[in-house]
Amino acid sequence: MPLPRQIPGAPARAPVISDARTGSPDSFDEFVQTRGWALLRFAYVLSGDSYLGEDLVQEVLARMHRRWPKVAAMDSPEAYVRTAIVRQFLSWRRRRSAGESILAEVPEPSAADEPQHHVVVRDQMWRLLAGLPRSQRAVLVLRFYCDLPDDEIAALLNCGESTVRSQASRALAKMRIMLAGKGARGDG
Amino acid sequence: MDDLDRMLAGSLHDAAGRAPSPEGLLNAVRRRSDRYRRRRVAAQLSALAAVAALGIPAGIVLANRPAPLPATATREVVRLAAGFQPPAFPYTLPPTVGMKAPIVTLRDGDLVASFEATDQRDHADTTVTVTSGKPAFGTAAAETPVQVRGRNGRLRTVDVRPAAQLTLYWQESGRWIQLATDDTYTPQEVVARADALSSASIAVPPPFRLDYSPAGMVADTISPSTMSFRPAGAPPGSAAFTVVLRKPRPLTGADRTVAGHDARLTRDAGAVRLAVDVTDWEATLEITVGAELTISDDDLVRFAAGVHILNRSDPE
Repeated sequence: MPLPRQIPGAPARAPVISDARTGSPDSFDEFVQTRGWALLRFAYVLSGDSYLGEDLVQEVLARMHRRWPKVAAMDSPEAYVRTAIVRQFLSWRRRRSAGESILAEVPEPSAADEPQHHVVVRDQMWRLLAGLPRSQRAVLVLRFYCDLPDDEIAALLNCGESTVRSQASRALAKMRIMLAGKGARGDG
Repeated sequence: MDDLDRMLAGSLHDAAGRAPSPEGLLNAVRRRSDRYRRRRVAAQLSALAAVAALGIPAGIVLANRPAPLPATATREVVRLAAGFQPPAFPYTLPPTVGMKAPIVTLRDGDLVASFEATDQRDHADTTVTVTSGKPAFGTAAAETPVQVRGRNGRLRTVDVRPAAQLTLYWQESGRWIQLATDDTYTPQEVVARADALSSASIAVPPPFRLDYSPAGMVADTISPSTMSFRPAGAPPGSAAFTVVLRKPRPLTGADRTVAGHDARLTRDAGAVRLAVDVTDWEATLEITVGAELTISDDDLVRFAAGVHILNRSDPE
């Protein structure tokens, strides 16, 4: 299913949820109903696991539920929620996995001219993402899924821009090596 | 953006289409939020107790602990008295539209009343705590002196998102009172709320109805899962007789039945414990009597048989 680019978007680019900012009792429900799927998609892409993604979103929203008027009064409530999801993800991953996981096995690619080639290559990318350390994965998701600039990623992850750049660089280099070893080619 | 970047972006957006459906999300979030709300009072109190313990110099903590029993000490014998009279919280806030009636608990000897805000635009959750000792805080905060109820008080502000936490504390009638809320209220409004406290007697609702209670002991903790008692002269937080409802635990080696439920009684140098498999509540009831006390098997079983679990209980 093609996805509109603005859905996962950066805080400043996310659609403003006007009612969410009023702090009215119904604004939380409306926020969840209108932005819930975007948050679920973001959490799924971030975590790579549908159950963990659902759990992340439910956990963060449940903890904000009773404080929603305060959250809704912020400049960008959705950005705040998304930041909380990222931090929750990093925190959970820290608790559940002390070390870096092994890069996932990448299936042999099909020939570039085959119709399913693009699908196969994108599937390879997804598998490689699953093998990245959580912080590198988060940087790539924020950069390539949310289209966030490095300074906003740095602010969201509470680290320096140089850290963001180095994390992205290492992750991409690792993926290039793995893809080169398997002979995958891009579609662009 | 090179090929790899484009492939990656495409892969992520493709994957997003496989995300879980949002159907049922709102209900799931509300259920989880409600669950957290039910447990919040107990959790907050636990955290408060932990922070307070951290904030107190170790020497004071040690000084407050009951002295270890000499080897030759005579253990106090637990006698059972009929019934149980829960303690009462001595203050209340005036009824206000947008605020619920207080939920009152007792934790380590501290009485706590939590007033939940239903209108979160104009009100915020407010917790009033009555302690015998001066409160200790483990978090750095800006602190300013204020006049409250004609007495000297201190207003602490911890600057956290999404709302700064405000805690006003003062001494009154030989006890310390804390009123904690957030910056929904201005500092002047926080003081005004404290000024509005009036005398009351709000009984702490216990999680169990007790046919018997340990005679000569006072309640130390009453929470949705726990009722504990300490000897009348012992410092708060030194419970020696504890009844806890826990999530179900495998009960091996049952050696008796208590009110028709499998149970196991164990004794060691430190304590005597009776675990009862309360299958109809899908829980395990644990009664522990510390080494400083002595109780017969018959009295312990009699006490356990007189513990009636109430709907308001919540196993830990």
